[in-house]
Order: sequence, then structure tokens, then C-alpha cells
Amino acid sequence: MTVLTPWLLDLLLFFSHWLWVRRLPYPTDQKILAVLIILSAQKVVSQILLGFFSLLTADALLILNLSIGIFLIITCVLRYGFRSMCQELPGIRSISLGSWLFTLLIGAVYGYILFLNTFVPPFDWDSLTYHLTDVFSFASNQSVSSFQFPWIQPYFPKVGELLVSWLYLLGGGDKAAFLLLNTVQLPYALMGGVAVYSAAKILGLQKGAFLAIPLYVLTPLIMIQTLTCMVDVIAAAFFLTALVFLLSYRITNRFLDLHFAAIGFGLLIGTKFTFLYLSWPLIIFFLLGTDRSKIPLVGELYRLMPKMVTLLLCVALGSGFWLTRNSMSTGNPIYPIQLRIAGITFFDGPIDLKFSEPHEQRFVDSKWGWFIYPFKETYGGGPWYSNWNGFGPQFLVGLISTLFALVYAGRRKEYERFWVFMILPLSIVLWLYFNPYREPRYISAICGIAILGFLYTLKHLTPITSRILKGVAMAAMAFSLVASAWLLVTHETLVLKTYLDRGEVPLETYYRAEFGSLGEAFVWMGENIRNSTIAFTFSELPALLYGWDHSNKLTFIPTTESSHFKNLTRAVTYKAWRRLLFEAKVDYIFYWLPDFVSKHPYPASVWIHSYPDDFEVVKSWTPGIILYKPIYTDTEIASFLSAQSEARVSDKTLSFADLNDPASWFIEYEKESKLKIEKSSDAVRYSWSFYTLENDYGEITAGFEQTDWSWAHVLEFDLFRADAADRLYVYLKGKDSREHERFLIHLGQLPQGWNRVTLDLYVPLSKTKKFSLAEVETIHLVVDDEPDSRLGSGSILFGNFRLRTIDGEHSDR
Amino acid sequence: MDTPSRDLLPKSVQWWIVFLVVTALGVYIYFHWPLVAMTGSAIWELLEWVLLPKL
Repeated sequence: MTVLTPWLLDLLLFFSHWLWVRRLPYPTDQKILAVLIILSAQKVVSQILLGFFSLLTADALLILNLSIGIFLIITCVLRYGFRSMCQELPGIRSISLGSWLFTLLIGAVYGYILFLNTFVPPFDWDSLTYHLTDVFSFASNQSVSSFQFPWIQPYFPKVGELLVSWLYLLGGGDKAAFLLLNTVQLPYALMGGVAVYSAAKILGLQKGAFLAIPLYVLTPLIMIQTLTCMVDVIAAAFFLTALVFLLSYRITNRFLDLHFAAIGFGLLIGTKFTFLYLSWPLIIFFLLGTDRSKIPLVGELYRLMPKMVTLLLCVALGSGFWLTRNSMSTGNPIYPIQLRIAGITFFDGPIDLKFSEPHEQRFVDSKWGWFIYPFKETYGGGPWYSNWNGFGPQFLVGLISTLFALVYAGRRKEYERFWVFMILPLSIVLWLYFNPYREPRYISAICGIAILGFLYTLKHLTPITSRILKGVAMAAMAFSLVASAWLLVTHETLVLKTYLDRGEVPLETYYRAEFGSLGEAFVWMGENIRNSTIAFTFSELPALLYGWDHSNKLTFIPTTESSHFKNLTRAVTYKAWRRLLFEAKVDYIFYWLPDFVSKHPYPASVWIHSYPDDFEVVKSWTPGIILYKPIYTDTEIASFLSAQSEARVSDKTLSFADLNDPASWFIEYEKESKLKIEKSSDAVRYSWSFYTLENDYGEITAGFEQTDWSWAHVLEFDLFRADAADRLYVYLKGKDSREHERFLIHLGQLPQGWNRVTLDLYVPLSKTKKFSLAEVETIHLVVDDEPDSRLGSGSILFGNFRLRTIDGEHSDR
Repeated sequence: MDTPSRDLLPKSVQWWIVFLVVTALGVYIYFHWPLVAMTGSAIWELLEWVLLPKL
């Protein structure tokens, strides 16, 4: 296997499918799209099949797909004769000078992108955090089981990852293959362009159609994201291809077209679950994009009934596996999305589609900012193109044209055209309403729709105005090209200088520039650590820890940070974490405490520093980036191996001595407040200060080894109050942190000095429906200013937590 | 390909479209000029770096 193997196999498979597809009644561009959509489905389905039987290896993948290709060629020769193979290859017919020039321009630009691709390794957050961890997990396990990332990503559909895996496995599964993974989106950028061109032709927009492909592929976002392993360009290509075949169906009424649309639609859902709602415009187009007074919807659906099984099968090719997997593992096919309509929960999940304000504020100050966003395209306060945004001026030109196109097509009752153009506003509305992360990249397919709107307007102009508008479009395209030329990858100047200087760009040079010491650590790990199990402590960017040959095993032991995900085994105490490290046979711990979280170190970080004798430093890059080896004493190993480490409840009481140690407590949240946890004799000092007149509060957390409290009746602890008079809430939470019961202690009402606080577990201040004393994982102490406008500080000491039945023994301090 | 005259937009609408699109492009370029300037200075930096040692 070499890095060229996947591309050569792609060419062979393209050819073998072409032999059959060329006989279909489509123009060349549509035939190309048909082949590309079948080829994508084949890559995905073949890997799912092999992975299902844990046979996903490079050899098996090559043999299976090569066999399919050879089978298609042989059957074609047998049926149509050898000479037919040489006829009607996708050819160059009468192409205008303008088209030639644009072809050369696109070739030059994408040639440069490919050139950069060969030097720039995967570097973006999404790829190194979860796209590639999945790819390496597939390669390592020879299956399509997702990497257990401690958030929502394992439940995402993985069509994009399988397309990357195709390049990685067939490319040799080594460092050289890894370096070229960014090329995965390149064919899909061009496929999207061809789809826009095809749609234009089907809509009868031949005038200026030669502009469709360059306008699309020279969109800044498309060019920039083509240098990553992200999947938005792939999704946009599937979206536009599905649209092409839906349009084709509307014109020809052929079932075949609908089946191609269904394959594209399935791949789209299989690439991103956000298209469970962002694809509604395609469905609306199908339902309304024709004159329903002539073709009644009921009649059409009735006509489609016999084809429903094959249509659903086509949709299932790209999406079925992921929906079934989620159904079986969580009971919700679209997990982690929660589906609630009119107060009824159809599917439960930890995400209720609330949007993330911090994500939006990278682009605009408020949601109203999106109205003028196409003019400004800001990111981080200034004009900028990135992997997440950058529709370019051609989108703005297309957007204005599309508004006219909508009015004109609507008045002329051109249903197909009207509902194609409606995809643009509908997508924006759905994106604004549903998308948790309002990043323009999710709806990059509307760049294609805007081009169609532009071409429609062009069709209805006189030669003079038409020429001006074409000139404007070309100027917009040229501007996009120049403005994004130095944003294609980060550190573009460094890459070019290094290449000109040395004829190569060493991996460490790029990663050092991108991630600093962390980059050096990643490269060292990739080069030096093999066939080991590595636990990482901070959940971002771990893909490179697999090593270039994916011979390492990677594990993340969730602590308190992943409390929404009830199916993950998490460690909420040091002992539990150590035991899980031991059980996972962890050889190394890759410790990384990024600057942006160093203010509130996560539990594993606190534990490592609190128990330094339990870890040996293997290599240190900075105080925040260290490779450790866990050390286990014989006693500890014996306790792990025996059942003695399990909780033992005796005499109807259970003491939590660990909670007297400040290392067991973490600051979870500071709302306009500053918290501190310190040791004070054999208790914990908890201090706070509130510094606004608003409702300030802060929260600290600790975990329990013994989580079954169903036998207990009260939780008690000692509390020393000096002069603090604020409110202290005590929360008890289960695995799902939304399930809790809480108690309120008015500190001002307690006598000064030591107090024994007794909480009746059956008489809380409030309790959620599903909270159960059979599963209590964490305790949260929340201080809230009393009154809310209070400024100033306070502190308490606490310790000696004990759980008991109502008749249990009582020990006073 | 010529569009039948009955399908053409009214002239005034056509010129309105042209006006809006040209203005929008102008506004867009105005906002994004720093990106072009950045490309220019980066290319200049690279050229200097390549050419200076040879001069």
C-alpha cells in the first residue's frame, strides 16, 4: 500500500461504475454525480460491512472493493463487448474559451491547495479531537466502533470519518498516509461545484452556467475547509447532489432519479445529524416543488408506494447503520439530540438543542447581527475567513439576486425554481432556530443555491445588464481568491518559507508553530511511544497519541466533566480513577493542563499533583504538559484485584473520610465570585468572596466511591461557621447531573462555632423526578450571597461526612 | 442564449438589481479590504525573503 493506493482504487472504481452509469439517460455532468454518489456509498457501506465483522483492514478493504470494480468491468464487457469500454468516457466536447480559462484557474487554485495539503498535516480542533480519533479507532479495532470521546461525538454518524479512513487504511496506515488525510474533502469541493452546474442546467439556466462551478469552488469557506478533515464540504456536496436528482425527478418523473436522490440524502444524514432538520428544505422542495393542482401530492405518494422499500434502502445505505447503532445503545436513534414536541418527549437525550451563545459570539454580537453578516463576515471581531465561515462576496451577490428570483419565480408560478430558491431562506431559518452552534459552515450548501438565484436573475436581464452582473460575479470571485489566499492554512508563510528553504516541511515544524510545546509533545509521542495504552487527561486533540501506526490504545477516563452522559463509566474520586487506570492497563498518562483551564484544574490534574509519589515523570515539556507512568504498590494492586476495595457498609453507618481532604474537592463554577478550597487541620476550609450586586454564587464538588445510598436515611457533617451568613445549598447528584435533590442551609441561622448538620435524605428542599438514592455520585456545595446584592467574603470549615440510617450511631466532634 | 423579451425583467428592476449588487459588492470589499492587504503584505514578505539573499 502507498499513499496513492486509495486514489488509484478510486480511479478504477470510478471507471467501473462509469461503464454502467454512462448508459443512463443523463447528461455527462449528472452521470459524473451519479458515479460519485454511488462510489461514496460503496466506500461507506464496504467499511461498515467489514467493520461489523471486525474485519476492517486495508487488505480486506482493498480486496473487497477491487473485486467489486473488476466484477463491474467484466460484466460490462460480457454484456456489451470489449470495444464499448473505450467509448463515451467523460470527455471534452465543445467547451468555450471562458470555460477553459475557468478550468485552468480552478486547476491552478486546487493544485495549490493540493500542494499545501501534502505539507500541512491535520491540524484543526475537530479533526484532531474527534474525527481522527474515530479513524484511528477504526484502524486499531478493525471495526467501526467510535472512540469513546467523553462528550456527544461518539453518537454522531461517521460517513465523513469512513471517507477519511478509506484514505488512511488504503494509504498504508502510517505517517505518510496521515499527512495526506486532509485531501479527503478535495473531490467533494469539486463535486459540489458540478452539482450546482447540473442544477442550473436542469432549471434551464444555461446563460452564464459556466460561472457556476468557479463561483462555488472558489468560495473562501470551501477552499479553506478543503484543507482539513472536517465534513461540511462533503455534506454540502451530498446536499446539492440530492437536490440535482430531486430536480431531475421533477422534470423527468423517473424513479431512478429519486433513488439517486435518496442515496445522496442518506449519505447527507450519515455525514451530519444536523441535516435531520437542515435537510427539510429538500423535503419541502419535493412536496411543493411542482404544480400541485396538476400533480396532486396524494396521487404522487400513492404512485411512489411500491418503490418505498427500495427508496428507504437507498436512504439507509448512508444513514441506517448510525441510526440503528444509536437506537440499540441508547434507545434514541438520533442521540444525543432530544426530541420534544408539545411537551411530549419522543426521544430522550442530553442535548435539548439550546444554542451556544459563545459560539455565536465568535461571529456576531447578537442574533440580529446575522442580518448584516453576509456583508461583514466577521470572526473574532474583524473580517475573517476560516474553517467555520467565509461565504465570500459571491454569496452576497447571489443572495440579493435570489431575493429577486424568489419574487419573480413566485409571480410566474415557476414552482420548481421557486422552491429551489426557497431552500436558501428556509435553511437559514432552520439553522437560526435549531442549530446549537450557529456557525455558517453548517449551511454552506446555500452558497450553491445563491449561485442558482444569481443565474436565474442573469437569465432575465438584457445583454448590457447581464454583462455588468457577470462582471460583478467575476470581480467577487477574484476578490474571494485574493482575500482568502493567505488564510488557506494557518502559518501559510512559514509553510512556504520552510518548503523553499528545505524542500520539505517537517511535521514538527508545523505542529510547533500551531500548538507550541504541545505540538512538540504530540510529535515526540507519535515517534517514540508504540504498542502502549495511553490515558489522556484533557479531552481535546488526542488523535496524535495513537502514534503514526495507530499501534497505541487510547483511553479517557471521564471524571466530573462528563456528567451528562450516563452510559460512560466515570471516576469521581481518586481511588476510583486509580482503579480504572489499572483496569484499563494504562502504561502512560498524557497530562495536559491548557492555560485556559489552569485556573480551575480538572480532577485528574488535582489528583496527580496531590499524590506525586504515585506517578513517575517520563518526559516533561512544560509544567502543564507531562508524560507520566502510573506506579502501583503491591498493596494497591492487591486491593484492586480483590473485592475489598468495594464499599463496606457496617453498623448502618458509612463515613466519607476522603471528603476531609481538600484534594477531593473541585471548584465547579464561579458566578461573579471567587472560591478557595484549603486544608485546615482535619477539615476543609471553603472560602468565597462575592463581587457584584447581582446574584453571585459558587459551587464546589466532590465524588463518592459508594453510590448506593438506598439503605441510608440521613447525611450528616460537621460545619464550622464563623461569621458567614450566606445560603449554602447542598446538592446530591446521580450519574446524570440533571437528576438531583437539594437542601438549603441558612448559615446565618446556625450558631457560631462547630455544628452538626443533619440532612434527612427523604425530606429535601426539592428533588427531580428521576433522582434515586440508589445512585448518588457527587455532592455539590453551592454558596449563594444573602442578600443577592451582598458584596464581601465568607468562609466555613466542614468535614466528617457520614451517612447513616435513622437509628445509626452518632459521633459528635 | 437569448431570453425572449417577454421573460426579461422590467428595465428599471434590472438596473435596481445592478445598483444593489454593485453597491453590496462595494460595501463587502470595503469591509474586507484588510484581508487583501494581508495577502499583499504576506506575498511581499515572501518575495523579500526569497529575493533579498540573491541581491
